Amino acid sequence: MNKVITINLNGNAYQVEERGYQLLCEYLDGAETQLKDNPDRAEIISDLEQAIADKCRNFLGPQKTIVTTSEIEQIIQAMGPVDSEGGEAGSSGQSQSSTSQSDRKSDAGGNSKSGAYTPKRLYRIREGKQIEGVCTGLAAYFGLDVTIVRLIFVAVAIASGGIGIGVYFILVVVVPYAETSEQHAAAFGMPFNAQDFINQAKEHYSEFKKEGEDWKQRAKEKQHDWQRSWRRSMRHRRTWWGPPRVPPPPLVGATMPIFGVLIGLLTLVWIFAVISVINTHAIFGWPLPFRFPVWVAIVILIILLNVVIGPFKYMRDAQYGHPYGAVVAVWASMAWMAFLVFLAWLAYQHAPELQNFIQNLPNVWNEMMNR
Amino acid sequence: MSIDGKLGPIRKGLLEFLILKIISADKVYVADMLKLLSTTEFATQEGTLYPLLSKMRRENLVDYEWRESESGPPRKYYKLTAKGKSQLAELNQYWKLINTTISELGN
Repeated sequence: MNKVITINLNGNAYQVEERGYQLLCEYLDGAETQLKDNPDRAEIISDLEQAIADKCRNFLGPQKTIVTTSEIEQIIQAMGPVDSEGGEAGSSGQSQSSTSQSDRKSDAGGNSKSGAYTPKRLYRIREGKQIEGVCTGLAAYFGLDVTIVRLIFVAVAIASGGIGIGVYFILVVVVPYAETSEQHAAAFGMPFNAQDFINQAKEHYSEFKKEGEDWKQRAKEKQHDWQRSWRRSMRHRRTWWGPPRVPPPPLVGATMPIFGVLIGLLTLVWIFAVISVINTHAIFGWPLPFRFPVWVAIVILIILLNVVIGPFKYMRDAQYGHPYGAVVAVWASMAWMAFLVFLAWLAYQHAPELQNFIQNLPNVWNEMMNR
Repeated sequence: MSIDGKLGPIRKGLLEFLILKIISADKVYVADMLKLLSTTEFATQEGTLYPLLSKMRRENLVDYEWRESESGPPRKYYKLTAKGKSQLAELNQYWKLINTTISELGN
């Protein structure tokens, strides 16, 4: 059993075994030492990282998500030692010193800041999920064991008299699944966001200002960097093993809260339908057929909800975390806060029904078990 | 000094010439170049090629543009500049000269 480390190679997230990670660090540190007087050092390092990333990709498939140490060895073998000045003879044999790993985090290009700062985002995670992946996502977000999070959730759900269950479903609605490798990285707090690009661009800019000479060339480089960052940020939601995501049309961002609210309202209606079916054996006054089991009705309702809000969820997910999302995000969070307050008010208003609902749950369970 | 120790520097010196030749034929990215060279005695690796290309770009012999690829991130496609083309012509000329010298001397 080997520990696995997630690394960021020129903007690509990969999982490699710990020893492989050390070897890569040594290789890239060695490259940096070799290139320390090279004016294009940052660019060459990012080219090399990209080449390593491409090679890593060849070793991965749908069933294989981790690059092993021996594969890293093969990759480094294929990359070959880094020459300081390409055409110069006799400089390739120099040993590659392995400086401390923390050095890699602050390299010039700002490319490999594995864990330097960790802007996390809450995502639901499919791997190891029990219901909808909320607990796995929370566990990743808070760095806790998933079992502990589940126990806390159950305890809160019982202590709050069922409100915890509502919170769970709200989280299901609000929080999207982590679909891409970048989102997985963000779920666990690995850096992968626009801030990285901004920092990188800033660094390039200060370099550019400081040196002054050869400005034309550098301006061009900077332009390339920007183009690349932009493209990469546009590509944010697409991985090479997943299906290509359709980029959202430009103006749709403003409608994000609408989808969120719509999903929320539908979910609310659904919750009421479930409560009414359990309490009164009827959906909003429409009685179930004679001897029709309640749990079947609930299963049908669950399927129905997913079918109805599926397209809205997709539209919302297509916009989640988009670069121009700052204003939209504020809107969305305000809408959701209002919605939460509304829900709390409703729960307060309908306290007896809610209690009735909780009391009836075991009956439904027994009915299901006795079949 | 072993024979390979003598040939190594020659190969290294000629690598730049060959890269110019490859790029002159078509716009290529690094993996293409490595593939073309891999079957020859000039087989080389990323660790050598990227620094060499960046040096050639600083000398204004080559330039690159970003191009999207169907799978994965955009790639740098290299092309020759006017200076690169004229240098390639010169090198070609010189190479022919060397060849005639080698075949004629001592015969």
